[in-house]
Amino acid sequence: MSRTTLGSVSDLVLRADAVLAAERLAPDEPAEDFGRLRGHFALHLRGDDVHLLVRDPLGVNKLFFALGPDGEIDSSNHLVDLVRAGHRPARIWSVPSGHLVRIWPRARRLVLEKHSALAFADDAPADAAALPSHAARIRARLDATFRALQPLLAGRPVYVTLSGGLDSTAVAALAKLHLERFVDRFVGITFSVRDESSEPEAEPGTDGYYARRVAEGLGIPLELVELSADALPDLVDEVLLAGQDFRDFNVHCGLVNAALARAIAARTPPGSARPVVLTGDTMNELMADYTPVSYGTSQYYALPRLGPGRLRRFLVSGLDTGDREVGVFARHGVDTIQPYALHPEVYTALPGAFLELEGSKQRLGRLVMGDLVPSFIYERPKVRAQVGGSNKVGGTLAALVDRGIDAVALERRFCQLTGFAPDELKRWIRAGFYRFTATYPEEQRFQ
Amino acid sequence: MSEDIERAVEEFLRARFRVRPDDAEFNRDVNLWEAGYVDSVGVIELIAFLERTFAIALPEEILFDPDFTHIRGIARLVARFAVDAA
Repeated sequence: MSRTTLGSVSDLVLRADAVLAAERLAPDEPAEDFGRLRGHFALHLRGDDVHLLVRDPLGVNKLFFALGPDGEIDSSNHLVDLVRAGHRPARIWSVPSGHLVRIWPRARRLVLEKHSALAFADDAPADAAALPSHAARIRARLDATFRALQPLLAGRPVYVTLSGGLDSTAVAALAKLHLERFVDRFVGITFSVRDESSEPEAEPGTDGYYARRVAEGLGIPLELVELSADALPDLVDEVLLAGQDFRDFNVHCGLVNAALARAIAARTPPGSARPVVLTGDTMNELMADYTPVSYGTSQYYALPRLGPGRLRRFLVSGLDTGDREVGVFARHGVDTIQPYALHPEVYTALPGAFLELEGSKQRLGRLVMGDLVPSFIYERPKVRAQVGGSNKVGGTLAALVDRGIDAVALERRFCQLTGFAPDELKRWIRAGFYRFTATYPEEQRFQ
Repeated sequence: MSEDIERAVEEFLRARFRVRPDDAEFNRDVNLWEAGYVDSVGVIELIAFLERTFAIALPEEILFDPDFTHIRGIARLVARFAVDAA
C-alpha cells in the first residue's frame, strides 16, 4: 500500500478534530468511514488487488489517474505529471471531490462512490434569531480547527496571506490567537502589482494599504511582495500548469499566489522546515460572495444567473476544479491550509435567504469574530485579490488584459502546455468538475 | 412525458442562450457543449433549471454521462431521476 505515486502536494487529514496520519487509512475501508474525515487530501491507497483513490470533501487537493495498457494505475495531484508520463489527455480522469474510486485492475472493474455530501440550506428562510447560534457554531469549529493544527505547524514558518479583506483578516486573527506561539515564524504576506506612478503601500483603497493596517492592528509583521505588471506574463505558464486551469478568474488569482509562493520560497533557507501558508480562500464560495467585474468595455468573471442560495451550492461544488492556491504554492514547496474549507458544513447550514441580505457576510463576521478583527475591516468594500483595490480595477486582471492575454489566449496556451486538443477542453471541465468516470474506462465512450 | 421534457428543455435553451429560430444546426440531438450552444456557466443554469422545473436532484454522476450532451438524452436522464424521486 502506498500513497499518491506522483505529485508534491501535502495531505492534511482530520478526524474528530485531530490530525490523522494518512498511512493509517486502508483501501478496504467503507465509504462512510471516509465521510467522517475532513481536510485537504488526495490519496492513492493500494491493497492486494484493489486501488483506492479518495479525495477530500471540497476537492481542495486534486487527484488525477490514468490506466496503463496492462492495468497499472498512475496517479498524481498534477494532471501534467500524467501527461509527461506518457498518458494521453483523453485517457486521464479525476476523482471528484467528496468521492472515492475503487479499481480492481485484474477484474477491469471500477466503482465510484460518494463518501461525503454537504447539506445546503438553500431554501431555508433567513431567521435573524438563529444567526447568533450559527455564529457560535462557526466560531467553535474554527477554534477547534486551529487548535488541531498546532502540532502540525509547530516549528514551521507560517505565512498568512493578507488582502486586507474580512476573510483573510479573520484567519490571521485566529492564527495569532491559536498558532503564533507554536510556530517558528509568523508573518503576514501581501501582494501588489507595482505601480510606478504612486506609492502602492500608502495609497488608500489598495489591498496593500489595508493589509498594512490589518497587520498593525493585529500586531503581525507584514511582508509586501511587489511585481511589475510587465513581469506577470512570465508567470502565466507556471500558473496554467500548477493551477491546472485555463479559466481567466483562476489564472488571475493564481498569479497573485505564484508571486507570493516565489517570495516565500526565496526566503526559506535550504534544509529548513517546509513553510505553510494560511489563506482565507473558500469563504467566498461558502457565502456566494462573488460578483462579475467590469474592466474597460468588458465584463469578467461571469456567474450563473442564480439566487445566492443556489449559487452557493454550485460555487462550492466548483472547487473541484482549479488549483490556484494549493497547486501553485506546492510548486514552490509551500503547503497551503484553507481553514474555512476544513469544516464547510457550518457555513452551508446558513439559510440561502440570509446570503441575499445586504452586508450578510459582515454581519456574520462581527458575530463570529467580534473585536478580534479590527473594526474598519467590517466596513471595507469587497475586493477580489486579482483586482487589487476597491477604488479602481487593477491587479493581475488588468495586467494581463492590457497585454492582450485574454481568455482565448489562456486556453490556447493551456493546450500547448498540456497537449490537450482545443475541443478536448470542452470535455475536461463541466459545471465546475474535472472529467471523471463511473465505470472502468475501457467500457466508456466520452462525449 | 419525454416529449414534454424535451420541449421544455429546448424552450429553455433557445430562450436562455439566444438560439436563433432559423438556426439549422440546432436540434434535439446536437452536442450542446461541443457545438458551443452552452458554455461552462450555462451548464450550471441548465442544471438549476432542470432541478427546479422537474423537482429532481441531479447527482454529479450525470455530468459526463453521454446522454448529458443533447436534449433527447437530457430528457431521458430527467425522466429517470423523476421516477426515482417519485
